Amino acid sequence: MSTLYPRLLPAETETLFARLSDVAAGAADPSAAITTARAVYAASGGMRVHRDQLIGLREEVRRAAVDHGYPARPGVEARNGFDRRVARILHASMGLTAGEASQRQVWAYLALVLLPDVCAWRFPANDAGKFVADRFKGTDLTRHTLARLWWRAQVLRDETRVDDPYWMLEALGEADLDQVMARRRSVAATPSLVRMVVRVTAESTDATGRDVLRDLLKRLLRLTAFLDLDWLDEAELRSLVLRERAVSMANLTS
Amino acid sequence: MSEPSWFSQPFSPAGGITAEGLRNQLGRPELSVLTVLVREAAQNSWDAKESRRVRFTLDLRAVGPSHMPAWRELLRGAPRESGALQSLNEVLRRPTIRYLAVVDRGTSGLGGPTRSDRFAEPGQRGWLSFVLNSGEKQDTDGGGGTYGYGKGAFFLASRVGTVLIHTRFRDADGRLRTRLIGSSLLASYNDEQRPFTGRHWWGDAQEDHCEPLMDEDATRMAERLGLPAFDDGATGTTVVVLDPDLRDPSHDEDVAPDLSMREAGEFLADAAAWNLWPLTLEDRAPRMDVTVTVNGDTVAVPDESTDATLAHFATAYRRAAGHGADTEIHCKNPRRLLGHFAAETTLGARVRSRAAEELGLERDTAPHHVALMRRPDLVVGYYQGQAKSHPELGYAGVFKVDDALDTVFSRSEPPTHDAWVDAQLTGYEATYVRVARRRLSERCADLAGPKHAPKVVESTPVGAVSQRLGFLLAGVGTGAPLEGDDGAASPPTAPPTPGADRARGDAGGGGTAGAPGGRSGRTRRPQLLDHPRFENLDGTWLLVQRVRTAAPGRVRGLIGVVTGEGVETSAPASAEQPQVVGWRREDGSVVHGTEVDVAAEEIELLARPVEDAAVEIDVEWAENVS
Repeated sequence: MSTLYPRLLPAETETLFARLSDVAAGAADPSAAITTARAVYAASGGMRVHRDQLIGLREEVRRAAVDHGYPARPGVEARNGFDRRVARILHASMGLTAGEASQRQVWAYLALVLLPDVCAWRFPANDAGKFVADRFKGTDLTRHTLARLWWRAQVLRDETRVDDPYWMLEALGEADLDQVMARRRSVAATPSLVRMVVRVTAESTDATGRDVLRDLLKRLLRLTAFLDLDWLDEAELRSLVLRERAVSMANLTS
Repeated sequence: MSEPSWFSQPFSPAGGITAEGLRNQLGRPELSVLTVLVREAAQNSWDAKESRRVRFTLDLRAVGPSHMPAWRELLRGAPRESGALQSLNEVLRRPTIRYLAVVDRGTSGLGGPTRSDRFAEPGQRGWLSFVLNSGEKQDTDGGGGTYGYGKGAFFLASRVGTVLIHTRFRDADGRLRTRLIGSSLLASYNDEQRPFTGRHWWGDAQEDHCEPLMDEDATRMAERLGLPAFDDGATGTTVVVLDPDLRDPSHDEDVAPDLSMREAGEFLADAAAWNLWPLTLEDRAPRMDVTVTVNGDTVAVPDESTDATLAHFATAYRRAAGHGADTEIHCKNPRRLLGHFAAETTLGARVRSRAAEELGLERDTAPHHVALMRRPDLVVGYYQGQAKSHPELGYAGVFKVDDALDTVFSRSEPPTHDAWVDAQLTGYEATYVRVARRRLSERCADLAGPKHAPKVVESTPVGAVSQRLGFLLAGVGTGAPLEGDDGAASPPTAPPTPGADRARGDAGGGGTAGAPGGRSGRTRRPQLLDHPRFENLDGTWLLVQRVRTAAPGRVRGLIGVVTGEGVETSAPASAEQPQVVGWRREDGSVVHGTEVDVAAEEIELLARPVEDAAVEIDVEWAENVS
């Protein structure tokens, strides 16, 4: 059975987001912060999350942040390391269904109530003291601090690898993964295609780098405009990706 | 030692074979000289393997200025007879000298006696069989060559019938020894009443034969000639094909233009890939590493990670090599296991290489072939089966002869090992070869599925239906809905908006052509009528869209690729872009260019679409209309 999480009401989302700059790193008290009266649950569809689970989740994510230098401003490496670890934590322990994970208010709750300090650490305010709304409110799940990680893990989870189903999270560099996941929504809409792109890129021994991946994505984008790739099996998808990749390589090196 | 010189072989009292006779031993292969060279050379190298990794390199290069003097010296005393395509003296006169070095390392090198009238133990016959004799029986276990004629390929590939052989091996005492010799197969001739066979060697010429340059001398000369060196402790052989025949294999011999060095390198890389892939698979041992270089630059050799078709063949190979019961192919009478067969279905994979075409694959189509092989795992050829009915679907199969029947099938092969011919055999043996072919044909027919010729039952525009159903898609996606009844790229029917002037309010409306999104404020936007259609104009397929303009003025046609995320903003490298070609008026006259002056009329927009992409068309006013 899936777990239901609190959904932060829109008005409260705005209020809390406006007050985000008050959340000085480390200032929030976890036990006080995890509840808010201004949240609701879906009426049915799962078990409501237990308070202890929320505390556990908060602790685990916070520990990941601390391990990556929290509260000191994170560098590139710390951000990448944190993202990868938290993607695993969220996906493996939250018990979310894709439906629940599509609810923006769930993510607003997690970012603004349960983990505001960590999220504000991960995506700090700009020089003018402003935070980027997408990172907190759940308006764009591919940009939300936590939602994008959960979805990344959801898409990249490799059921065939019992030993490490999340290996693909580490298979590519952050910028490359971002290319696939966030900017190329129509490619990412077919998870098996994403997995194949990651797999093929990770397996490739040629030192071609990012240009090939970007070009490959562009080529696949052209195809997804009129091909439905969901029905392809693993081998067919592989052959398609290999073919497009070979063309990209040939074009880039010629 | 004295300077190396040329030795010409006179006929012995007991007779001898002429150079012409030796050259003809390969027959007249159907395959091009370069392909034959790659196959035979690789087979020689594979047979001589001594380590788990055979490094096989094809190094095409022009002699650099620093090595030129040594080459000129070598050629100066060369025999004047031609017999090959050109005489050696002609090479000397040319400003550049080119050669193709076939290099193998991790192989045994050519050891043993250097004169053929000395007894040599089996396994010590490398030099004899490669440099001196002809037609020696196979002496290595698992070797593919049964004739010992393979070396003829080196001579055939040289326009001047000449090769240099540079080899290093360990002698009986375990010491590293090096040898270098030149060898020519030209034409028999008479010199002052004395007949000569037309075979020549360049090295340490003796009274009645020619010894190679040895050790220090050999190494020094190889250095002066700029030949690839041997790493510490490495053994192997370099065969230098002088002035290689680089005529384009896809033309008739007589009129074929020469390939450029680069093109030749690419052809060699392709030929290596399609002939040798089973030996080069990452997970096999022993295995062969193939490298192709042109003047020192590496040319990529396609493999299963870069070529989808090869990837499928490789997968099929691994399954067939698993020897499962489901892969067995049997002969029923007499009852006998013939070999193992497996096949993979391909989607969208195409054969692109010219070298593959020579082996029986069809270019630019989905593969529908079975790679034939036997024990040495070299590709004998590709058996062409029935094609699948859908052009994007194909299959890649592998059939490998059971080891017990290896000798039978090998005897059915012509000297170039590129076919199985049952006519060369008799009795049961001929039956095995014949039945194998029939079984493959059956399997291919199964894979291809029922034959059917495409038949048009009815051709109905689906616009009306899609208009009715369009509401189902309302709000879905960011692009216009696409329709295509043949799986091909079809343009959207709603007026698209590649430009900045986004006025579409009916995304998802589906097929509401001619209902543009509002007015421009002054004049109605040009209307797109009906569905765009494909039309062949002077041999080019163009997309034709009817447009109605409500007022006179100047209109501009826009076309762009739509991707799954909307209008493409950045195209893939070297990708084709759709283009507005021009306009066709009612009277049939065509105006080129993206813009055209119109009256209130109907006019057709002509655009060049791109393969494998969906495009959007839009027409807008190019300037304000009064």
